[in-house]
Amino acid sequence: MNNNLRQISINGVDDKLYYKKIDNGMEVFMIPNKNILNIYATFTTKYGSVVDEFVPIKESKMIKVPKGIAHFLEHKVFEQENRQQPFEFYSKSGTDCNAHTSLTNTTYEFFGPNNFQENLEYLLDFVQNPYLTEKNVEKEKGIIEQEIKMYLDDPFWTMYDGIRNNTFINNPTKYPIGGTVESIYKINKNILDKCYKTFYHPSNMFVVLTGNFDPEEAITIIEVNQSKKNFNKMRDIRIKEYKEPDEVVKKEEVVTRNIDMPKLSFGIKINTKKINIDSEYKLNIYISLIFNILFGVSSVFFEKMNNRKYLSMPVGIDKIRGGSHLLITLICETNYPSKLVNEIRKVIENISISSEDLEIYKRSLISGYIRSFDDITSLNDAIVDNVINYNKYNTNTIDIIRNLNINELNNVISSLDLSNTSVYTVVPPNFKEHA
Amino acid sequence: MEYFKKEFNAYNIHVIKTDRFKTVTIELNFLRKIKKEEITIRNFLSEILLQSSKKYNTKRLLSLKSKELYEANIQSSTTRIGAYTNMSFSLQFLNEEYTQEGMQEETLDFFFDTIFNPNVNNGEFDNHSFEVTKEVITTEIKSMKDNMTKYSLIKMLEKMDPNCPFSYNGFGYFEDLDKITNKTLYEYYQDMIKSDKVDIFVVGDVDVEKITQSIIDKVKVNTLKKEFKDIRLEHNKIRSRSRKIVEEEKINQSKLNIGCLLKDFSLDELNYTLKIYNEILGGGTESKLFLNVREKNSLCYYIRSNINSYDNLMFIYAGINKEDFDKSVKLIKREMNNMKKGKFTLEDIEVAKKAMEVSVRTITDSPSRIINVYYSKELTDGDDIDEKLKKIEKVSYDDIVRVANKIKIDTIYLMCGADKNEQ
Repeated sequence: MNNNLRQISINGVDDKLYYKKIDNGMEVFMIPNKNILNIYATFTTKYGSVVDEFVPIKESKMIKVPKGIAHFLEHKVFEQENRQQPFEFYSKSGTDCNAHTSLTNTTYEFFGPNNFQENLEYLLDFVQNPYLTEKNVEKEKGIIEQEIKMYLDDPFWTMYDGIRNNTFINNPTKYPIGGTVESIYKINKNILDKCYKTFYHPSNMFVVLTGNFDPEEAITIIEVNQSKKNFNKMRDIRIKEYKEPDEVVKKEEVVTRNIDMPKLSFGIKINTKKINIDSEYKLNIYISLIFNILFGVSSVFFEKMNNRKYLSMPVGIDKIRGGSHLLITLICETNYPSKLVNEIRKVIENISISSEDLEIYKRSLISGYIRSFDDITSLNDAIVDNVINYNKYNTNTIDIIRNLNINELNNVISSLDLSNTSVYTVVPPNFKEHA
Repeated sequence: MEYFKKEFNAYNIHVIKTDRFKTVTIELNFLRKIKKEEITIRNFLSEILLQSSKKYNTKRLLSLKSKELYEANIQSSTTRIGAYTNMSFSLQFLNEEYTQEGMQEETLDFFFDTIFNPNVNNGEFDNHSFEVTKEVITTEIKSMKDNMTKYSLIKMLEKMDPNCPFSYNGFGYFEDLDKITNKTLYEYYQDMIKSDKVDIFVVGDVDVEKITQSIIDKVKVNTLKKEFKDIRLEHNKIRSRSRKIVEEEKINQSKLNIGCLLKDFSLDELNYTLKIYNEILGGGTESKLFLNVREKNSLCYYIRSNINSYDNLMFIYAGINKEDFDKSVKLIKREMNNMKKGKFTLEDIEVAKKAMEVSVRTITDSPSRIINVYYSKELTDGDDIDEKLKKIEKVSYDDIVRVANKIKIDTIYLMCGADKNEQ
């Protein structure tokens, strides 16, 4: 066994987690699955669009950067000097390669059954040694402009951006992940370099592997590769912290778009620091559970709204973390936006959940959790999500689910302040709600 | 992985036994020739059957029951396969090793009971479920514009040939929705069970004999099925010169689509040679279109080409600024011409083959992809995994140049953004 590679059992399934923090500070999480052929590898920096002001490495003052820079950098990390470009390299073995930027992280990945060692080494190499020039930075602007415009025509994306902008006051969670067409044209090589050097240090990054590979072989590949590279000693990264009030920016906004079906996002901004519970992970499970029981397809609410024709499609329920606050969004397609909003308010003003409901939903959670081990993509995503939000992968999730109980649930409900809400509605031109 | 097929006159059962998954997947398919005026009623039917059943007569009760069965969520979809339309019901549930003994039988009961014992009284679907479903279908039709890429493709296909099923709008049509009644819907349901081709698939670590018998006991389809044939769409008239169509729509990004009708290609050309051609031209991030239109000229974020062999159709699609329309079209045409002239390398072919080979070899990673292979074998006498791999390997440089020269552009379509960008 490799030195200090820990093998940890995962309750409820036969799968095992392998974990190691290597010398340069990089963490590695692995869950192998020999039943399938593919391998999914992700390499993530804990750096996303919410980093708006920070102290660059080797400097002492905070700088403010143009919106959308983390995503811009993601595009540019693919540029390499004196060797094959990533897409070219991976295509030779029939491997898919991609990357994505979210509010909290930037993740680079490959997916495929071939050439594991070379693919893994190359993932580390290309992300850790990009080649930025004034010219290739300029060239990217037209491409990213088109990416931003593509999202502008998507009403669901419009709501995702709109509701964050109208609920968060100071936290940069409020800004679009990709920035705006205007802000990306302000980005240059110098500022990209500063972001890269600060946030792509191994101690700010982690690897997650799922699928058909041998964990001991994998950790050896990673350690040998990293031992050949020199990194500066890293002190803690200083990122501006924001005091976020509980209130929202705007209680409602209606925008017009070229669509036929009106939609709305009902946002509830919750200060989770005010809730008394022993684990944040468990709290998040409870909060998801509460909103699914209240607004999901099996809810009394959905049945009523169906009967009144206020709703026909299921409500989309989402959680967005922004510092001290959690934003719950309820995404609805409706011809009766204001009537529906009144009904949603009635439900959250008087929450009651029975223990029978809780038990039935626990079965659904257990099922979803066990099934995720068959799907190396969603399993990998779940690990990344765990590490970003809780700094570890929870191997006892199944026990947490089994031990959810009505007393604790009621405790959470009674300490939830659901009074800070905002509604973002997207309607077709000349829309009028029927009486 | 072992494959078992049981043929009855009224339906077939296909069981793929494998211990790769923690779940069991079951899929029930109804297939018939597509008619434009039946699209909406078929969508309606596939939705209403999941709104309620005789036993669980509201959506809430039905979905609570599926949660009780450890999230035994039934999904339905209707998709067009060439000249045919397929209604599919599927369910994936945890192998009972992870839940409780008896769960498999109970879940199968729930699945088949939902489809074969609908909420019908006196020859009519339950009125409440009917009304709710009507709202669902209305919303679906109205949401067509939510995805402009898809919407602009439908618009182009309608221009190319409004009578060809590839241009039928799968969301449905309001004029047909208004004609559907509780009674005609139930008649359509009965007709579907009586005359559609029915195939049932199971993938998972199951006892083959036991599950087959269990399905036979629960499936209430017993009429003899007619032969079915000619699943592919054929095009008789091919335009010798392409035409340009520009339409305006209030959007931020203009959508450029190029459509080509394919004629006189053999089955292997459609399934292998053209797929490799497509991979080189516009398949992924190493394709000619991606490298030249996006990377070299920064004109777009996405650009892809696609072959639909059931439709004998190829199309290219990209999101651009409308000022770049002529330049983009010129670049795309240049790349298509280069393919005709054989301006691509043996290495390009190897990369394309590798991508296809990996995609075929890893079919066994996913229950739904496994089902797709066996279903397409059932429908078109398609190849199994080993045959596919052999045929991919055999495609040559000359084969690709030959198919490239048989491809003709039919329509160049631009859905053009309004003058002022940024709404």
